[in-house]
Amino acid sequence: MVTVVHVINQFFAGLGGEDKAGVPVGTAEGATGAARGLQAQLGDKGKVVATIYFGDNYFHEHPEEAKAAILKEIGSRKPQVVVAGPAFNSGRYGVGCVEVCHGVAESLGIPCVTAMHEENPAVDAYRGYHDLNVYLLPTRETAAGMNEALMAMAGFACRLGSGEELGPAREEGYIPRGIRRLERTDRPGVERAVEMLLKRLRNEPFVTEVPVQIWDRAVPAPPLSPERQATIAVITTSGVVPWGNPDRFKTYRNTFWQKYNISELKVLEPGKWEAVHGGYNVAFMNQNPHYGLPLDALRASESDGRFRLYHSYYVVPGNQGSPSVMKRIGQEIAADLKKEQIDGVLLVAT
Amino acid sequence: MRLDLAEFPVSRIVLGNKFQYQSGTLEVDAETLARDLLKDPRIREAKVAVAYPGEKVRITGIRDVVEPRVKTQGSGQVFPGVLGPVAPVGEGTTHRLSGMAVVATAEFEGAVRAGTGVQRSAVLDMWGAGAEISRYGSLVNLVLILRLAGGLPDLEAHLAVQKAELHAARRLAEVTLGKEPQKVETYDLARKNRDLPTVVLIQGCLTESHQFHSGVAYYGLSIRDSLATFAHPNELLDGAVTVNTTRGIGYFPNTWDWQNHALAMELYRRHGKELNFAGVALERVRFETYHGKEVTAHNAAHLAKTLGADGAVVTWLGSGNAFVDVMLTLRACEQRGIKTVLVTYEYGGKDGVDSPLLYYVPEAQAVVSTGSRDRWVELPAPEKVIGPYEEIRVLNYPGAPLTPASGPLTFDARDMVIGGVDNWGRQSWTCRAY
Repeated sequence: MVTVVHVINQFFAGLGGEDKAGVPVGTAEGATGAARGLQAQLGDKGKVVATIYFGDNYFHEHPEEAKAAILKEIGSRKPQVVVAGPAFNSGRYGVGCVEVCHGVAESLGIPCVTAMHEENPAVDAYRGYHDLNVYLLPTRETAAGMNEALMAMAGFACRLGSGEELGPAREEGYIPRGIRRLERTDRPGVERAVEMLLKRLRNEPFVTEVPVQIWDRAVPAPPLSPERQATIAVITTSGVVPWGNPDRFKTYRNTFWQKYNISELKVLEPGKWEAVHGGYNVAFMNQNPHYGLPLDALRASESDGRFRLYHSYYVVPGNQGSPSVMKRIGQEIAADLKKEQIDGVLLVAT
Repeated sequence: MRLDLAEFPVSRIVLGNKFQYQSGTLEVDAETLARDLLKDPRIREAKVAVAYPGEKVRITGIRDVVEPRVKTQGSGQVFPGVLGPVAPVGEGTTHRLSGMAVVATAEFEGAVRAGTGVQRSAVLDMWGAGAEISRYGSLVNLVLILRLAGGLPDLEAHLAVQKAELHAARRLAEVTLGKEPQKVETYDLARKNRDLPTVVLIQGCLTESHQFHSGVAYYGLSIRDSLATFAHPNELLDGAVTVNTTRGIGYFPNTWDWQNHALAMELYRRHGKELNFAGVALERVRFETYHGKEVTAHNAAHLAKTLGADGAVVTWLGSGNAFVDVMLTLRACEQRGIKTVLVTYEYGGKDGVDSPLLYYVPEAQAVVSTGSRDRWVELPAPEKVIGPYEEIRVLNYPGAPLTPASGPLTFDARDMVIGGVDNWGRQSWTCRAY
C-alpha cells in the first residue's frame, strides 16, 4: 500500500475561503477535506497518512517559512508520494503546489504529483524547474473537475509509489517538464517525415516531434543621457582574446566569460590577439582584431570626450553556446557591469 | 533520366593479393592499393586495415566515408568533376558495394588554428555505444590510413585525401565488372502518377564561402554564395556531391551520405505510389545577413513551386545561424501553399532541458527530430586502435591537450563521432518530451 501525504490549501481543507487565506501551515493526521476524496480514489491501494494545509495568502506572503514548515512535516512522515492540489485556475494555490513539489523533489527526493489548469501561471515555473520527480496533470478550470482530477492523481500516486518508471508526457498525459530524452522509435526518421508530410497533404491530423517554442523578448534600455559623460564597455562574442588563449576558451560550447584589460592600448596589434571561435573564418579577424573589438574607432570617438571607455572588455566565444548557459553568462556579465557602474555597452556579435 | 543501381553486398573483406568479389567476400590487394595511393607525392604513408561491426576497435583520424561505386553504362563516371571530367551522370547503370564503406583517415596538422577552416577529424567505435550512435558502426569498413607530407596547404591536403579515397572506392567497385548483381533497383523520376501530390526535397547546405572548400561541392565545385539549384537525385547516387575531406565532423554528412541520401531514397521508395518525387533543391544556407537569409529562403521556395511542389521535405546540414535560413525557408514554402516537414537534429544540452532548436518560426508546425547532438557520450576503452592517431584532442581549441585513443573517452557532444549526428533521419533516433 502506497503512503501519501496530501498538501492542499485552506479552502479545500474545509477551513474557509478568502477570510481564512491567512492561516499558517497546519497538519491533520489522515485524510481531511479534499484529501478524503483522494483517499476514496486510492481505495485500498494507498493511504493518506496526513493532510497538510496552508492559507493561500500565508504561502504568498511567507513563501520560505511556509515551504520549510511543509517540508519538515513531510520529511518527518516519509511518505512514498506527495500529492498537492488540484489547484485548477487558482494562481496562488497553484504556486503553492508547484513550490512545495519542487522543494520536496530537491531536498527529500520523494516523487510528487500535482494538478491544475494548463493556463495556471504556476505551470511556467513547473516547466522551468525540470524536476524529474514531479508530474503536473492538467485539470479543468474549476473545481467542477475535482473528481476526475483526484482520480488521475491517485492513479499517478499509486504508480509512482510502486517505483514505476513513467513514459513520455504525451503518452502519460502529464504536462511536459521541459525535459527531452533521446530515444529510439520503431521507425527511421525518414519514414516518419514522409508520412507526416503525406498526412499534411491529405489534411489529416499529425503530431510534430518538436513543438514551436516562444523565446523571451529583450526590451531595450532607454538611451543614455547626453547630460553627463557615460562609461561604455564592450562585450564581444567574437572570441578575440590575447594570443595563446591564456584562459583556454574552447572554440565552441563555452561555459564561462572573461575580462581583459585594454586601458593602456590604443589599438589591437595583429599577432598579439587571436580569435578562438569555431563558427567563422578567423583569418580576417586575426589580421585585424578590430572587427571583433573596435578599439581603434572607440579611442578616436573617446577623444571627443562624449564617453569614457571602461578599462577592460568582456569576451565569450559565442559559437554553439547553449541558450541556458549564455543566459547565465549574460546575467553574470550584467551584474559585473552594474557593479562597475557602466552606463552603456557595445555588444559586438559575430 | 533512368539509373539502374546494381547491388553487390559485402559481408567480408579479405586483405590478399588480388582484387576480386565473390558471394559477399571482397578481396583487396592491399599492397597494390597502398602503392597506388603513394604515387601521390602528397601522401608519405598509406596503409589499409579492416574493421568489422562488433569488434572492439576504435578508428581515429577520420576525414570522410565513401561507398565504392563505379558506372558501367551511361555517360560520365562516378564522382564527376573530382575523379574525372565534368560529364553528366545519373543515367545508365552503376554498380555499388553495399554494406561496406571506405573510411578515409589521415594525419594532417594544417596551418589554421581555429575557425571554420581548421582541420578536424573524428573517431568511430565499431562496438558498444559508439557503434550504436553512428550509422557507420554497422558497416564493414575498409580503413585507409594516410599520413600526409609535412607543410601541405589545407587545399592540397584535402585534394590528396579525397583523390585517395575516391580512387580506392572506384577501384574496389571495379571488381564487380561483368558480374551478376544480387539486386537491381531502378531510379527514374519520370515514372509519375498524375493523381498523386508532388514533393520536393529541399536540402539546406551550410557552406563556408570564404574557405578553400565550402563543405559541399557539386561536380567538384564548391557551393559558395549561390542561390538554390536543382539537382537530380540520380546525380547524388553517382557521387556528384562531395565534401571537404580535411574536416571529419559528426554533424556534417560525408560523401557516403550523399551517395545514399536517406531522404531522397525514402522519397524514391514512395515515388509513383504515394507521391511524385520531383527532385532536390540544393539550397545554400548561412547567409551572413538577414537579407541574405530571406532571399535564399524565397528563392528555394520559388524553385520548389516551379517544380510543381505540393509538399516539401526540408532538411539541412551544419550548425548555428544557418538554421535561421532553414526556418525562413519553411515559412517561404508555407506562404506559397507548399506544405512542409522539417527533418533536423536537436540540441538541448547534456540533460535535454535546453531549447531543442536555435530558432523558430510559427509556420514550423511539422518537425521530425532525429535525436540530440548534445547528449554526452561515454566510450569505453577499445582493444585496438586503427588509424593515424594514437592520441586525439577531445576538446577543440588552440593548444588543447591530447588524450590517448586507447582509453575511455567522454565527449560533451556527438561532434567527435563520425556519423554521430543523424542529419537526415536514416536511423530511428528521436527526442521525446518528459
